Amino acid sequence: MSRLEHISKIPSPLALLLALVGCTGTIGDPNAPLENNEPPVPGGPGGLLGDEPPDPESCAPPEAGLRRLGLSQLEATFAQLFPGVPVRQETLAATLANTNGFTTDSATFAMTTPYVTSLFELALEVSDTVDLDAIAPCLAEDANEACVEEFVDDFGRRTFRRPLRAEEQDTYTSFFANEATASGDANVAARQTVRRMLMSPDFLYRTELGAGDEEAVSLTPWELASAISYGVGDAPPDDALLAKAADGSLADPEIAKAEVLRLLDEPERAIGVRRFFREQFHGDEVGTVSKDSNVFPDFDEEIAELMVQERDEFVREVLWADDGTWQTLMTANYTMANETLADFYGFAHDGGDEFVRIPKDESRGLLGQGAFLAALATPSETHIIERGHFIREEVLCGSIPAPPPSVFDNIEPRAAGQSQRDWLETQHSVGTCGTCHRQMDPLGFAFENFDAVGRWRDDDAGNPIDASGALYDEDGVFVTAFEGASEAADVLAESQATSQCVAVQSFEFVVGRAPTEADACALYDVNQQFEESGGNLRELFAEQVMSAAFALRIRAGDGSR
Amino acid sequence: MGRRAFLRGGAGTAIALPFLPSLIGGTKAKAMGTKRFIAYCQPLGSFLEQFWPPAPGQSLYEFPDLSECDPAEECRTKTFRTGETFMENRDWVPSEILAPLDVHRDDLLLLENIDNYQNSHPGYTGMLTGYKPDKDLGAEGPSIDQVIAREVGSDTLFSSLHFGIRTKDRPGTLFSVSWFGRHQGIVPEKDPRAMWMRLFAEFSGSDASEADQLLAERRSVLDAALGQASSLERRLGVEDRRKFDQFLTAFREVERRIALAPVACAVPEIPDAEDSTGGAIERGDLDQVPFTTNDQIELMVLAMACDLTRVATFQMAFEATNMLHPWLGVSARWHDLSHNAAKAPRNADEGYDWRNDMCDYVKISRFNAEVYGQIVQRMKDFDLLDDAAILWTNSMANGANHNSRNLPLVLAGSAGGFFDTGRHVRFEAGKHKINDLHVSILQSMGIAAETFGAEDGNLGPLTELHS
Repeated sequence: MSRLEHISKIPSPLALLLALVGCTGTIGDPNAPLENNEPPVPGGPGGLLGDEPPDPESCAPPEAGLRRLGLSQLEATFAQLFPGVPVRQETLAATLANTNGFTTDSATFAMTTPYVTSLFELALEVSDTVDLDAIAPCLAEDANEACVEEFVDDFGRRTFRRPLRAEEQDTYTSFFANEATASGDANVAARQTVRRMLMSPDFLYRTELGAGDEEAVSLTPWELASAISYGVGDAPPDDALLAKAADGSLADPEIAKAEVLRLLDEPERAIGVRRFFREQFHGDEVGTVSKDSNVFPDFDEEIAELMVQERDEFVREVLWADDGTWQTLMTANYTMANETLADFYGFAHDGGDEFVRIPKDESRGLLGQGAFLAALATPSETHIIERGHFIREEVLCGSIPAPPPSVFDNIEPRAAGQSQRDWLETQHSVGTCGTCHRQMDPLGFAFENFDAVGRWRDDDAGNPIDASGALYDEDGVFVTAFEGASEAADVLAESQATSQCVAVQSFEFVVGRAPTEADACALYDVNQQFEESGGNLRELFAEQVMSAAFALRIRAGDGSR
Repeated sequence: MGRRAFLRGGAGTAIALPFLPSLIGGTKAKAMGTKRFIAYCQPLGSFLEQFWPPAPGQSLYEFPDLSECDPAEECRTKTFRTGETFMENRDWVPSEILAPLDVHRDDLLLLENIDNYQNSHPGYTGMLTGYKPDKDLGAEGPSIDQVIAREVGSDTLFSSLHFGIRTKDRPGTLFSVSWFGRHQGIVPEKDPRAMWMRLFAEFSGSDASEADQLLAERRSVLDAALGQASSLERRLGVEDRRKFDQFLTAFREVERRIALAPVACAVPEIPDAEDSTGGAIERGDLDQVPFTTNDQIELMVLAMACDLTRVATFQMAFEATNMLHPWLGVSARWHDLSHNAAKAPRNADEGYDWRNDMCDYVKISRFNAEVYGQIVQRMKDFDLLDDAAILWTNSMANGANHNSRNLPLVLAGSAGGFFDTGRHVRFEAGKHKINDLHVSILQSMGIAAETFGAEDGNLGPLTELHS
């Protein structure tokens, strides 16, 4: 997800205006070179992926440290520890730092008092209600010393995702004994022990500290198991993965790869992969928009939610039922819909609530869906700039600088009966608007046949649609032209910039931090493998966690003690 | 009876029963000069022509007979302003929307011509923070309730509480009014049963020694976590250690607060899970909104009376919501109404009767006045109003064009005599941002603030409001 979000995605006339005025070039002749002397807009996948392999000397593993579990990761962790115990998401979300990055990005979380309060409330609630027979079966028979030790050892290992150290084992065991004596009830002691473990930083964070005193260390097998599982599955390691950590075999790259592929094999396990596509391409956003009921009386919250689901189901279909490639994700000539949504779009459907493939050709892939077309539109109209801006930043990993505030004065209002395209072209051909808007508007033009709720239309304010668009590179140089949404999708899917973009973004998602130049070698390798695999997205995720740097850390600061 | 004794609430099937002040046994809660703050927050503006009382000598805008209203003129007013100079009026005539508040007139300040810092929908986050928010990340700084909570709320179990009606389960520029700090939105609790669990469950039925034991046990959990943390901390580098400090600070603060148990207090019954026929009550349902609102108000005011908290926000829905209001007979969407109400809509020429929308929009505004009035009334019932400041605020002013100028604002309670209430006060148009009002409110809470929010939104406190 791009860190540079200059143009409001909340469709509003104000945002349109802001977007309009923030430019410094000209778009009069689309093939003309840039007129101004400003350096080209920096972009591409962070400038970290070149054609040549980077100098290994410039690369280094990341620093050892702590990673706080993200909200969805914490939810999944609770769910695994306490099957059947409902965890209220609102409780966890009581205070949350918003972020432009991925939810997996540990650096953006803040541990605030309200957040700790809600964690504490959750720990109390869960420990009070958990079925002790499920987590400590021996207690019911005989809460003897061996049973307590077994409970502490087993539950501690699953909670901390590693075996307890000897002193931890002692601490919890003697705590249990004292509580059991004081209350005369082993169950009380067990619940107290559970809540203590749940409030421990060893539960709330995962470590990437490695073992040993060298400057460069490998993650312990337990840390690696968590890094793989949270990275790809957005969830704690399961028993099978923990077993591979326990017997040390996870250190073997072949075994590790087999485990990664096992996680990636099933959509139910590869939750992180699906979450990545939802976050990178803002799949939830359409669920929050509302439309003018005078213009779109049949668009309601249900349709909006179905559009969110359409996107999720589509990603799942492409990655696990179709060929799983980036090209197909961009250009598939089908979408996924149930009867209600198909009816809304005007497609045929055999009936029922089942999401099934709906063939279509006018618009394809990710950019042919309501999650893009309806999300990036005003309540009543399409939003050419927003759509183009989204493609530039999220699909091409480009970045558009914030519009200078001083240019409000020169905006001419759109005339009655004027098409949005005509108006934009008029506005952007004067002054210096074209430099930035060449990067956005011609991409957005291609989708003008799709209205503010993602349905086909033939005219804009009575004017026939002109859906001819163009792709310019980061330097503002014309690359190619296309006609309509399908051709646009084809062009983008074939562009190396888009596949490199998804490679870099998924790296950031999996490792939970923004890549730096020190990651250039890992990124280069991952991207090479991705290309060799023919753009296979599951393969891409596998390569991310298999890259050499993934399991290596260097000691940070004075933390080597 | 110990300091932390809890009484079972009186009779009760639902918490809507009136709580008798005599059940509130503690002295702390009623101590003179204990300041409290509530912000009642609604989205989507109002119909200002029916909100502000007319200035002396002017007549009230007729309602609901709008047949003579020319859509090209009055009804398309871009910014409703009635005056360019300062004015105050103690004999204000209740408008259509403010009529439910007439009974509280001596305790109110009607605050005309104060602008939100931020225009349109993001004003939802702007109204209590006084900043232009980032549309994705939210507020640039803490909201006023959190600033107050850090001072006034530092000695209660909850530094602040956040109530919602059909609010969203995640923070956001359009979903959160309260912000802990930059980009840290607070999610309100929309389920009164869950809120009851947070506030009262642990203490319900406990005697004093049991309650003491419970609290000691809770503190020890956090103690243990801090112990575990220190062994982890030793292995961290400088950078991570700094981040980890946040964790330690937050844990110590939560631990400290647990000692701040409430004074003796009536524990109400938990709001019913089922109706009289045994069917589950879905508290998020639209037809439950009036009842859920009632329950939430009772819990909020009781949490104040029990001194569980001194700061609260209360959110009606969220920004740009399309919530329907069937209990008012309003079947159109709120957001649509806000746009359509005060202007002839685009399809007026197709026989669309925009006057219905105007009436519906006014009904919704009046409903919000009633909810606010009930909060004021309940605080009064517990003798808590005089030392409190209760703000009714709105994300925008004129719903029609989502303008931020001249927010419909009302303040209740004199905050211990700090405010000179009982007046309709109209400031010079375009002069003051809401930041200035917040500075006054901060000062009324005993906080020595001279500015609030964005620097360029500050002219200083609104001394015209002070006693």
